[in-house]
Amino acid sequence: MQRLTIIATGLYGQSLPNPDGAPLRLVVPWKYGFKSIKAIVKIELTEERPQTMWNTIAPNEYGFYSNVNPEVDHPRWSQASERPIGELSRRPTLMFNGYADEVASLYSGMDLRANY
Amino acid sequence: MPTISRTKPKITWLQVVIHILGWLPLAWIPYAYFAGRLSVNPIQDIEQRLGRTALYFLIASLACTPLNTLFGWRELLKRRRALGLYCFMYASLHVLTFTGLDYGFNLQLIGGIVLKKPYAIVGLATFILLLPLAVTSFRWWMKKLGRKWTSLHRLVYLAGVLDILHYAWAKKGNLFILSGDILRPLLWGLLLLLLLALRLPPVRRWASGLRQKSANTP
Repeated sequence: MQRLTIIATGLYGQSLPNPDGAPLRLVVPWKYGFKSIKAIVKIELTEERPQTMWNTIAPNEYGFYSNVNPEVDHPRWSQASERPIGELSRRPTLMFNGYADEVASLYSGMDLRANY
Repeated sequence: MPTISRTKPKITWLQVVIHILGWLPLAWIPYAYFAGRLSVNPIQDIEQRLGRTALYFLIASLACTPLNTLFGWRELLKRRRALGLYCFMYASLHVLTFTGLDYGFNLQLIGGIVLKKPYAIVGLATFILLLPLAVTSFRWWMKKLGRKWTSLHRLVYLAGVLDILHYAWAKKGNLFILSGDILRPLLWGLLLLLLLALRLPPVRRWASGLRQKSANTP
Protein backbone atom coordinates (compact mmCIF):
# COMPACT_ATOMS: atom_id res chain seq x y z
CA MET A 1 0.00 0.00 0.00
CA GLN A 2 1.46 3.35 -1.00
CA ARG A 3 2.10 5.81 1.78
CA LEU A 4 2.50 8.94 -0.32
CA THR A 5 -0.95 10.41 0.18
CA ILE A 6 -1.15 12.75 3.13
CA ILE A 7 -4.10 14.41 4.79
CA ALA A 8 -2.33 17.35 6.36
CA THR A 9 -3.52 18.97 9.56
CA GLY A 10 -0.51 21.22 10.10
CA LEU A 11 2.44 22.92 8.53
CA TYR A 12 5.94 23.53 9.92
CA GLY A 13 4.96 22.26 13.32
CA GLN A 14 1.79 24.32 13.64
CA SER A 15 -1.86 23.79 12.82
CA LEU A 16 -2.80 24.74 9.29
CA PRO A 17 -3.46 28.47 8.99
CA ASN A 18 -6.54 29.48 6.99
CA PRO A 19 -4.69 30.60 3.83
CA ASP A 20 -2.93 27.25 3.73
CA GLY A 21 -6.16 25.28 3.67
CA ALA A 22 -7.35 24.79 7.25
CA PRO A 23 -8.72 22.52 8.64
CA LEU A 24 -7.40 19.74 6.38
CA ARG A 25 -5.61 19.60 3.10
CA LEU A 26 -4.76 16.76 0.77
CA VAL A 27 -1.28 16.15 -0.55
CA VAL A 28 -0.98 13.90 -3.60
CA PRO A 29 2.50 14.72 -4.88
CA TRP A 30 2.34 12.69 -8.09
CA LYS A 31 -0.55 14.73 -9.45
CA TYR A 32 -0.72 18.32 -10.67
CA GLY A 33 -1.06 20.74 -7.80
CA PHE A 34 -4.74 21.57 -8.19
CA LYS A 35 -5.55 18.01 -7.14
CA SER A 36 -4.05 18.64 -3.71
CA ILE A 37 -7.16 20.31 -2.45
CA LYS A 38 -7.30 22.61 0.54
CA ALA A 39 -9.88 23.48 3.19
CA ILE A 40 -11.50 20.03 3.21
CA VAL A 41 -14.71 20.02 5.21
CA LYS A 42 -16.27 16.77 4.05
CA ILE A 43 -15.06 13.41 2.77
CA GLU A 44 -17.57 11.25 0.91
CA LEU A 45 -16.98 7.72 -0.33
CA THR A 46 -18.95 7.12 -3.52
CA GLU A 47 -19.63 4.19 -5.77
CA GLU A 48 -19.44 6.20 -9.03
CA ARG A 49 -16.69 8.56 -10.14
CA PRO A 50 -17.72 12.06 -9.02
CA GLN A 51 -17.69 15.22 -11.08
CA THR A 52 -14.61 17.30 -10.30
CA MET A 53 -14.43 21.06 -10.67
CA TRP A 54 -11.68 21.55 -13.24
CA ASN A 55 -12.77 18.56 -15.28
CA THR A 56 -16.23 20.10 -15.49
CA ILE A 57 -14.96 23.54 -16.46
CA ALA A 58 -12.47 22.39 -19.10
CA PRO A 59 -12.68 18.66 -19.74
CA ASN A 60 -10.23 18.72 -22.63
CA GLU A 61 -7.57 20.31 -20.46
CA TYR A 62 -8.09 18.91 -16.97
CA GLY A 63 -8.55 15.20 -16.58
CA PHE A 64 -9.91 13.38 -13.59
CA TYR A 65 -6.59 11.72 -12.81
CA SER A 66 -4.26 14.66 -13.59
CA ASN A 67 -1.15 12.58 -12.97
CA VAL A 68 2.09 14.33 -13.82
CA ASN A 69 2.94 12.89 -17.23
CA PRO A 70 5.59 14.45 -19.47
CA GLU A 71 4.49 12.28 -22.37
CA VAL A 72 0.98 13.69 -22.63
CA ASP A 73 0.81 17.35 -23.60
CA HIS A 74 -1.75 19.78 -22.37
CA PRO A 75 -3.63 20.85 -25.52
CA ARG A 76 -2.00 24.27 -25.51
CA TRP A 77 1.43 23.68 -24.05
CA SER A 78 3.95 20.94 -23.48
CA GLN A 79 4.49 19.39 -20.06
CA ALA A 80 7.78 17.76 -20.91
CA SER A 81 9.97 20.16 -18.94
CA GLU A 82 9.77 22.26 -15.81
CA ARG A 83 11.75 24.96 -14.05
CA PRO A 84 12.00 24.93 -10.26
CA ILE A 85 11.05 28.33 -8.91
CA GLY A 86 14.08 30.57 -8.53
CA GLU A 87 16.31 28.52 -10.79
CA LEU A 88 17.60 29.38 -14.22
CA SER A 89 17.48 26.16 -16.18
CA ARG A 90 14.76 23.70 -17.04
CA ARG A 91 14.81 20.04 -16.23
CA PRO A 92 12.81 17.19 -17.72
CA THR A 93 9.51 16.54 -15.99
CA LEU A 94 9.49 13.11 -14.37
CA MET A 95 6.73 10.56 -14.80
CA PHE A 96 4.39 10.75 -11.79
CA ASN A 97 6.56 13.68 -10.62
CA GLY A 98 9.32 11.24 -9.68
CA TYR A 99 7.10 8.93 -7.66
CA ALA A 100 6.71 6.29 -10.36
CA ASP A 101 8.15 3.58 -8.10
CA GLU A 102 5.49 4.20 -5.51
CA VAL A 103 2.38 4.85 -7.59
CA ALA A 104 2.81 3.57 -11.17
CA SER A 105 1.23 0.28 -10.14
CA LEU A 106 -2.02 2.10 -9.30
CA TYR A 107 -2.45 2.83 -12.99
CA SER A 108 -0.92 -0.27 -14.54
CA GLY A 109 -2.61 -1.30 -17.75
CA MET A 110 -4.37 2.06 -18.15
CA ASP A 111 -4.01 4.19 -21.23
CA LEU A 112 -2.58 7.31 -19.62
CA ARG A 113 -3.37 9.42 -22.68
CA ALA A 114 -7.08 8.58 -22.50
CA ASN A 115 -7.06 8.77 -18.71
CA TYR A 116 -5.13 11.97 -18.38
CA MET B 1 37.89 62.75 -58.10
CA PRO B 2 35.22 65.39 -57.71
CA THR B 3 33.70 65.42 -54.30
CA ILE B 4 29.92 65.28 -54.09
CA SER B 5 28.77 67.97 -51.78
CA ARG B 6 25.93 66.89 -49.57
CA THR B 7 24.15 68.93 -47.01
CA LYS B 8 24.55 67.29 -43.61
CA PRO B 9 21.25 65.58 -42.76
CA LYS B 10 19.40 67.44 -40.06
CA ILE B 11 18.51 65.35 -37.03
CA THR B 12 14.92 65.94 -35.98
CA TRP B 13 13.52 65.79 -32.48
CA LEU B 14 11.24 62.97 -33.63
CA GLN B 15 14.28 60.88 -34.52
CA VAL B 16 15.79 61.53 -31.11
CA VAL B 17 12.55 60.52 -29.40
CA ILE B 18 12.24 57.37 -31.49
CA HIS B 19 15.77 56.25 -30.74
CA ILE B 20 15.44 56.94 -27.04
CA LEU B 21 12.16 55.03 -26.93
CA GLY B 22 13.80 52.32 -29.02
CA TRP B 23 16.40 51.47 -26.38
CA LEU B 24 14.53 52.36 -23.20
CA PRO B 25 12.50 49.14 -22.94
CA LEU B 26 15.67 47.10 -23.29
CA ALA B 27 17.58 49.16 -20.74
CA TRP B 28 14.67 48.83 -18.32
CA ILE B 29 15.10 45.06 -18.08
CA PRO B 30 18.44 44.84 -16.24
CA TYR B 31 17.30 47.70 -14.02
CA ALA B 32 14.07 45.84 -13.22
CA TYR B 33 15.98 42.64 -12.54
CA PHE B 34 18.27 44.25 -9.98
CA ALA B 35 15.49 46.32 -8.48
CA GLY B 36 13.42 43.17 -7.97
CA ARG B 37 10.69 44.51 -10.23
CA LEU B 38 10.37 41.45 -12.42
CA SER B 39 7.63 38.99 -11.58
CA VAL B 40 8.15 35.72 -9.68
CA ASN B 41 8.73 34.17 -13.09
CA PRO B 42 11.43 36.57 -14.32
CA ILE B 43 12.27 34.68 -17.50
CA GLN B 44 8.65 34.67 -18.62
CA ASP B 45 8.33 38.32 -17.60
CA ILE B 46 11.31 39.34 -19.75
CA GLU B 47 10.07 37.18 -22.64
CA GLN B 48 6.63 38.76 -22.57
CA ARG B 49 7.89 42.33 -22.15
CA LEU B 50 10.16 41.95 -25.17
CA GLY B 51 7.28 40.49 -27.18
CA ARG B 52 4.90 43.30 -26.23
CA THR B 53 7.52 45.91 -27.09
CA ALA B 54 7.96 44.34 -30.52
CA LEU B 55 4.20 44.61 -31.06
CA TYR B 56 4.15 48.26 -30.00
CA PHE B 57 6.85 49.13 -32.52
CA LEU B 58 5.06 47.16 -35.21
CA ILE B 59 1.88 49.13 -34.55
CA ALA B 60 3.84 52.38 -34.44
CA SER B 61 5.39 51.68 -37.83
CA LEU B 62 1.93 50.90 -39.22
CA ALA B 63 0.52 54.12 -37.77
CA CYS B 64 2.84 56.37 -39.78
CA THR B 65 1.06 56.22 -43.12
CA PRO B 66 -2.45 56.77 -41.67
CA LEU B 67 -1.20 59.65 -39.51
CA ASN B 68 0.29 61.24 -42.58
CA THR B 69 -2.96 60.70 -44.45
CA LEU B 70 -4.96 62.33 -41.67
CA PHE B 71 -2.62 65.10 -40.55
CA GLY B 72 -0.10 65.54 -43.32
CA TRP B 73 2.87 64.77 -41.07
CA ARG B 74 5.24 63.79 -43.82
CA GLU B 75 8.27 63.15 -41.65
CA LEU B 76 6.56 60.06 -40.26
CA LEU B 77 6.98 58.35 -43.61
CA LYS B 78 10.75 58.57 -43.20
CA ARG B 79 10.64 57.15 -39.71
CA ARG B 80 8.92 53.89 -40.62
CA ARG B 81 12.16 52.06 -41.16
CA ALA B 82 13.58 52.85 -37.73
CA LEU B 83 10.34 51.80 -36.06
CA GLY B 84 10.24 48.58 -38.08
CA LEU B 85 13.82 47.74 -37.22
CA TYR B 86 13.20 48.32 -33.52
CA CYS B 87 10.25 45.93 -33.84
CA PHE B 88 12.58 43.38 -35.37
CA MET B 89 15.18 43.94 -32.66
CA TYR B 90 12.69 43.26 -29.90
CA ALA B 91 11.18 40.34 -31.80
CA SER B 92 14.63 38.80 -32.17
CA LEU B 93 15.40 39.28 -28.50
CA HIS B 94 12.01 37.77 -27.66
CA VAL B 95 12.81 34.71 -29.79
CA LEU B 96 16.30 34.48 -28.28
CA THR B 97 14.87 34.65 -24.76
CA PHE B 98 12.39 31.91 -25.58
CA THR B 99 14.83 29.56 -27.30
CA GLY B 100 17.91 30.32 -25.21
CA LEU B 101 17.08 31.65 -21.79
CA ASP B 102 13.83 29.74 -21.37
CA TYR B 103 14.53 26.47 -23.16
CA GLY B 104 18.35 26.39 -23.18
CA PHE B 105 18.46 25.85 -26.96
CA ASN B 106 17.05 22.36 -26.41
CA LEU B 107 15.77 21.68 -29.91
CA GLN B 108 13.65 18.75 -28.84
CA LEU B 109 11.72 20.79 -26.29
CA ILE B 110 11.49 23.82 -28.58
CA GLY B 111 10.31 21.71 -31.52
CA GLY B 112 7.69 20.11 -29.31
CA ILE B 113 6.20 23.53 -28.76
CA VAL B 114 6.86 25.54 -31.87
CA LEU B 115 5.69 22.82 -34.23
CA LYS B 116 2.63 21.75 -32.27
CA LYS B 117 1.14 24.55 -30.23
CA PRO B 118 -0.96 27.18 -32.05
CA TYR B 119 0.36 30.18 -30.10
CA ALA B 120 3.94 29.24 -30.94
CA ILE B 121 3.24 28.34 -34.56
CA VAL B 122 1.83 31.81 -35.27
CA GLY B 123 4.67 33.35 -33.28
CA LEU B 124 7.22 31.57 -35.44
CA ALA B 125 5.31 32.55 -38.57
CA THR B 126 5.33 36.20 -37.49
CA PHE B 127 9.08 36.14 -36.94
CA ILE B 128 9.72 34.40 -40.25
CA LEU B 129 7.69 37.13 -41.96
CA LEU B 130 9.62 39.90 -40.23
CA LEU B 131 13.03 38.50 -41.22
CA PRO B 132 13.02 39.42 -44.93
CA LEU B 133 11.42 42.76 -44.07
CA ALA B 134 14.26 43.61 -41.73
CA VAL B 135 16.94 42.41 -44.14
CA THR B 136 15.53 44.40 -47.06
CA SER B 137 15.04 47.55 -45.02
CA PHE B 138 17.84 49.37 -46.72
CA ARG B 139 17.99 51.59 -49.77
CA TRP B 140 20.21 49.14 -51.65
CA TRP B 141 17.34 46.63 -51.58
CA MET B 142 14.77 49.23 -52.51
CA LYS B 143 16.76 49.97 -55.66
CA LYS B 144 17.36 46.30 -56.39
CA LEU B 145 13.74 45.19 -55.95
CA GLY B 146 11.97 48.28 -57.27
CA ARG B 147 8.20 47.86 -57.23
CA LYS B 148 8.53 44.38 -55.74
CA TRP B 149 9.96 45.96 -52.60
CA THR B 150 6.64 47.60 -51.85
CA SER B 151 4.76 44.36 -52.46
CA LEU B 152 7.18 42.46 -50.22
CA HIS B 153 6.81 44.96 -47.41
CA ARG B 154 3.04 44.65 -47.47
CA LEU B 155 3.71 41.36 -45.65
CA VAL B 156 3.96 43.48 -42.53
CA TYR B 157 0.14 43.62 -42.51
CA LEU B 158 -0.01 39.83 -42.22
CA ALA B 159 2.73 39.90 -39.59
CA GLY B 160 0.62 42.32 -37.56
CA VAL B 161 -2.45 40.09 -37.68
CA LEU B 162 -0.45 36.98 -36.77
CA ASP B 163 1.23 38.85 -33.93
CA ILE B 164 -2.14 39.73 -32.39
CA LEU B 165 -3.22 36.08 -32.65
CA HIS B 166 0.08 35.04 -31.08
CA TYR B 167 -0.45 37.53 -28.23
CA ALA B 168 -4.01 36.41 -27.53
CA TRP B 169 -3.26 32.69 -27.68
CA ALA B 170 -0.12 33.11 -25.58
CA LYS B 171 -2.31 34.69 -22.91
CA LYS B 172 -4.40 31.52 -23.03
CA GLY B 173 -7.21 33.47 -24.59
CA ASN B 174 -9.30 32.95 -27.67
CA LEU B 175 -10.17 35.89 -29.91
CA PHE B 176 -12.66 33.85 -31.92
CA ILE B 177 -14.92 33.12 -28.97
CA LEU B 178 -13.78 36.09 -26.89
CA SER B 179 -12.70 34.01 -23.93
CA GLY B 180 -9.79 34.48 -21.59
CA ASP B 181 -7.61 37.41 -20.61
CA ILE B 182 -7.68 39.02 -24.03
CA LEU B 183 -8.50 42.64 -23.31
CA ARG B 184 -5.10 43.94 -24.38
CA PRO B 185 -4.66 41.74 -27.44
CA LEU B 186 -8.19 42.68 -28.45
CA LEU B 187 -7.59 46.42 -28.06
CA TRP B 188 -4.32 46.31 -29.97
CA GLY B 189 -6.03 44.13 -32.58
CA LEU B 190 -8.78 46.69 -33.06
CA LEU B 191 -6.18 49.44 -33.40
CA LEU B 192 -4.35 47.34 -35.98
CA LEU B 193 -7.58 46.83 -37.92
CA LEU B 194 -8.19 50.57 -37.86
CA LEU B 195 -4.69 51.30 -39.14
CA LEU B 196 -5.13 48.74 -41.91
CA ALA B 197 -8.59 50.03 -42.79
CA LEU B 198 -7.21 53.55 -43.23
CA ARG B 199 -5.11 52.18 -46.07
CA LEU B 200 -8.05 50.89 -48.09
CA PRO B 201 -8.31 53.24 -51.09
CA PRO B 202 -11.87 54.49 -50.46
CA VAL B 203 -11.15 55.08 -46.77
CA ARG B 204 -7.83 56.71 -47.58
CA ARG B 205 -9.49 59.08 -50.03
CA TRP B 206 -12.12 60.01 -47.46
CA ALA B 207 -9.47 60.60 -44.78
CA SER B 208 -7.38 62.70 -47.16
CA GLY B 209 -10.49 64.62 -48.04
CA LEU B 210 -10.99 65.44 -44.34
CA ARG B 211 -7.53 66.89 -44.18
CA GLN B 212 -8.01 69.00 -47.29
CA LYS B 213 -11.35 70.26 -46.05
CA SER B 214 -9.87 71.39 -42.78
CA ALA B 215 -6.96 72.96 -44.63
CA ASN B 216 -9.37 74.89 -46.82
CA THR B 217 -11.73 76.02 -44.10
CA PRO B 218 -10.96 79.64 -43.25
